[in-house]
Parts: sequence; C-alpha cells; structure tokens
Amino acid sequence: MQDFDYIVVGSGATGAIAAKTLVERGKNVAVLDAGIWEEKYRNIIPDQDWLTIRKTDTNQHRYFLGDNFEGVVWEESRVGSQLTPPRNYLKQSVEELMPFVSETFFPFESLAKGGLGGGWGTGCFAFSTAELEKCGLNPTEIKKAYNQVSELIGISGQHDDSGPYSLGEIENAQAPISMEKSIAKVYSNYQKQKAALNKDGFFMGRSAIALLTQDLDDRQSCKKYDMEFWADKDKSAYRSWMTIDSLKAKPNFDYLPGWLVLSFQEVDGWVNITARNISDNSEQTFRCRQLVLAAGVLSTARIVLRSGNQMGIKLPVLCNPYSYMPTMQLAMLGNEPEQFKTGIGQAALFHDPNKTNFDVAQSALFSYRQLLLFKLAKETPLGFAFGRQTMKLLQSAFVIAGIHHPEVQGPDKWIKLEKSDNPLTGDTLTGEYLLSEKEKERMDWRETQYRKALRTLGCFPLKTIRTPQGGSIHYAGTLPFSDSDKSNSLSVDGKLNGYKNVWVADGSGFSYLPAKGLTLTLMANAANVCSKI
Amino acid sequence: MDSIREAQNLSVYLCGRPCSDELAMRYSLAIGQQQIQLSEKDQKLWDLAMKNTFFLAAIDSGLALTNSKSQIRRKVFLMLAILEASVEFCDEFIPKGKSKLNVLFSLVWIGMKAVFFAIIGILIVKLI
Repeated sequence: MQDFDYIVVGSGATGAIAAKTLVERGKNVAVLDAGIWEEKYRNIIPDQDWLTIRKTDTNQHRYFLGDNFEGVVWEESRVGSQLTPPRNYLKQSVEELMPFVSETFFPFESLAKGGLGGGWGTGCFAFSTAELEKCGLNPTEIKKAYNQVSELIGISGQHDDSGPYSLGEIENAQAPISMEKSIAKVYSNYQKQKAALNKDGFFMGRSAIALLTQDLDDRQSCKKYDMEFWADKDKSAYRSWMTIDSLKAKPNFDYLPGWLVLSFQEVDGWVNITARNISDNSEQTFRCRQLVLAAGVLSTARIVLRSGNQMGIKLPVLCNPYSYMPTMQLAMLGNEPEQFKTGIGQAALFHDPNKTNFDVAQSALFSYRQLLLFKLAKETPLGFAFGRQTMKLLQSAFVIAGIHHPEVQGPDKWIKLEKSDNPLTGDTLTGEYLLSEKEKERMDWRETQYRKALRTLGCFPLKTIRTPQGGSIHYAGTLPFSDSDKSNSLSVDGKLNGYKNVWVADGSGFSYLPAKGLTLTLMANAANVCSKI
Repeated sequence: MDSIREAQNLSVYLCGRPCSDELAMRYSLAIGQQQIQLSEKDQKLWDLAMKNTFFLAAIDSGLALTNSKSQIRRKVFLMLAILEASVEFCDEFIPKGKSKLNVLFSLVWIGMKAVFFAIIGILIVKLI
C-alpha cells in the first residue's frame, strides 16, 4: 500500500488545477490517473503553418488521415468520432474501461493524460453572479479564483461587448489575438448593426480564450499556424497535461499514470483507494489523508456510487444542448486563403434577451479550413468530384456558429450504475437524457433568433444541426451542492456529504449549467475547493 | 480490376489527372484495411464505373442522391481524402483568390454538370 497526504483522481481541467493548487500550498500530492498518452503523431507534425505543411510535407497523410485511416470517418457513430488522428487518444480504451449505455444520452469521456482538456476549444467564460448562485457556487470566491486561473493558464481577450459574458471581472488577461479576415468581417458587420442587434438581446465580441498572445513560462505566444486541432507545438493553447508536466519537477508531487480508480473507503482517518492497473488488470490500494475526486462528473459518479454500493440509484445529470449552423458569408466568396491565422473561435455571439446576464445562449463563431475539404464534400448531395470543386469555391465563405443552450435539471435527465459483466469493473453506467417539450420549444425559438441575427451579420444559415444529447461535452450536476448533508450531494466547499475526508473538485456539484462553456468555472472551482482543504 | 488501377481512375475523376504510384499504393492499402464489401448490385455498378470516368461521375452523382451511404461512395471518399492529404494534389483543394463573379459562374457551371451526371446516374442505378 502506498501512502500520500493528498490524492487527486484525474488529470483533466479540474484535476490538474486541483493538484497545482495543493502543491503550491506545500502539500504532498499524488495524481492517480489512467494517463493514456499519444506519441505516434505528436512528433512527426512539423512546426510550420498549415499552408506550408499542405504544400511541402510528404508525410501529412500520416497525421491528417491516420496510419490506419482512422481520420477518414465514413459513418459517424458517436460523439468524438470526428477527432483528428493525433487527438484520437482522447477516446482510447473508454468503451472497455468506462462503458456507458443509453438510447438517448451519448457522453464523451476520456482516460487521457490531461483528460478532455487535451481537445478543449479554449473558450473562457466567467459566469455572472446570478449564474454562479444558481450553480450553487460562491460568487465572491469563484470570481477571485477566475483571476488565479487566468494567471496560471494564460487567457487572452478583450473587454468589449462580450466582456460581461466572457472575461467578466478577470483583470489579468493578455491582449486578444488578431482576428482572421472572415470573423473580422462578421465583427465589423456587428459594429454597423449593433443597435438593432442589442435591442434583440444579441451581443458580440472577442471572447476570452486560453490562447497566449505573450509567452508564459515554457509556453510561446500563438504563432497562428492554424494547426490547433492537430498539434500543440508552441503550447500556446492551454492543455491540462501542461500543468501536470510542469508539476512533475516539484518534490512534493507524484504523477501515477496507468490506474483506473474504482472505489474508496474511509478507515481510521485514512481514505483507502482501490484502483485497477489498466495494463495488467492488477488491483492495488493507495492510501491518503484527503481524497480529491476530479475525474469528470460521470467518472466521479461511478466511483461514488461504487464506493457506497449504490447500484441502481439514479443521480441527476446536466448537459448543454448543442446545435450548430453552417452559414455562408457571401462577402468572403473568392477570398485568398490566409497563411497565418488561428482556427480557434475568436468571437462569440451571446443571446441575452432579458439583458440580465442570466439564461444566456452562447455561440462561438468559427471558420473552416484545418479539418480539410473532403469532410465537407461528404455533406453535399453531389458526386465527390463536384462536391470537391464546390466546396473549394465556397470554403472561404463558411462561418460555423456553434450554439450552446443553458440547461436545468429535469426528471428525464439521469444516470445510474448497474451491475454488468464488464470484466474490469463489474458494472456499467446507464442513463437517459430527454428534454421536455417546453425546453425543445425554447431551443427552437433561440435558434430562430440566431438565424435572424446571423443573417443581419451577413452570414446566411444553410441548415441547423442538433447534435445528440452529450455532444456539447459539457456535463455537470450529478452530486448537486446542498445545504443539508444528504447523501450523493456536496457541501458548498466541495466536501462529499457523508464522508469526512473526500472532496469533489469537478463539476459534479453544479446545479445549473449556463450555456457559456464551463471549463474556466470548473478550473476556478477546483482551485477554490483545494485552497481550503 | 486491381486497386492500383482503381486509384488511377478515381484520381482522374476526382482531380482530372492520374495519381502517382505512391498514392495508388496508399489507396490499395486503405481499401485492404477498411475491408469494404460491395453487394452484387454495387459490384456491377462499380465494374461499369471503372470502364470510364463518364460512368464513374454519373454513378457517384446518382448514388449521392439515391444512396449516399453506398460502399461505392465510400471507396471514392477514401480516394478523395488520400488525394487531399498529399503534396501532389493539395492545390486541387486549397481555395484560390478569385472574383465573386468568377466564383458564381464557376458554381453555376459545376451545378449544371452535377445535375446532368446525377440524372444519368440515377437512371443507371435504377436500371442495374
């Protein structure tokens, strides 16, 4: 048995920040993690811009398509099937080690070092006071933690009309990245039509992103190589594994990859943790004084339910509904491709019909280039030769609006752990996720408003595609914050009710899910929880 | 027909010229790995498509409207991806600066060709 003062489970957005906060407080910390990693493609991608790579690198097929052509996806069977080959490790072994069965809910989980943070879109959105309160979080503490996280991960952005929805009260942001032409054109249209759009509750700006425009430690400012979906060469876009790697140099930190945590038990002031080795299937017990669960809400739920022997008990769950609209910005037709730009969403359009910064919908705006044209050609009702020619002509005019909708708890949104013949854990997580008719009507209405606003901005929507529930990859609310000490809930400081030394630092406690991406708030909450343990 | 010859035909159809042996070999490898199985009807259509690029364009366009998930389309899609991820053909996929008028005329011309081939293709798909 190995003993530690603190064990953090998981190395994703919350686990990395939890560990960093504890280590900086001088605690002895170990991170237990499955820690799956990828080296095959990482080292063969040149440190060059997308256009140069396309025109010169004879090895590009290896990482663009994959050595087994895993990047040429014909049938998109589940969320995550469109991951690029260098990011495919994010979903590796998940189906065997963490099975999830549902007809209506299709979450995406990861066992990778750095977790889902390895594919994070980097959008940073500070929740408003009203949103934080509805989540069950302490607004004063979280707003303070936003600044700590911003300093650590490096956030760039601007206090424009997106300010109240994105940077909030963050004061240490770096200057925003220069916009690519296509999004700059939309932004310029917004400035011209601002009065009318604001009247309808639409606000647009250069929302905050975890992308460096100034060097930070060993990370470089963004070179605008437009390769963010494939590589992290300059480390300008924040990934959670970067924090884990930087912690490895600290004497009071241990990173223990290869372990899937199954359950825990409190015994005589210690927490015993049972974990399974993902390589040889052996079981081992680790022991700590304080356990911090930061495995992501679904994995944390598995561990908590298993530890309490609560098979068949339903837990609530939240996931932002997500839809996206490919649009054509006719003014950009025929434009010369830019050599230096970034494909990361640099602007967002917020819909705040009541102008209260509550019940806000959020849409990030993207251009399309990095992910190659052949995937677009598949979406046309044309022979592939004509699809290729058409998409080549239209590509410069594509603007994609990805819309996140706010989400509340409901009776048909739940998960439960059931016994199964899964050889590794003996159980399977199942669940259901159904929106009420009223919620669907609200989404319809939102999307209609967005279509109108996008047309005003010169972007003509071609269609609206709703992803299956789970597609937003934003999950929360399985162990909601509670003032009482009922089981399967958290105290406001993150302690798992019913236990003395077990804490939860991921989004399990959030009782509400604003449409704004939650990653920044997850990290702030993790920092806040671990500043007190 | 062997997969090397298939690759050459597909390259002519998709990008207007045959590909190098290296890309043809890559297609051959991909077909082997993906284990694409054609039904009896698809095999007949495929044999016809491989006779010349006119039939290939027609059958692919017809299937795009009648059976877009056809395994024939999957083979064409695979070759399209291989061509795009190559230095040899990247210019056929990267947009070039053009006037809006030029883009609009090009779109109309491609649209007319696509409709023509789709009509022929639907007839062929129905007849075979």
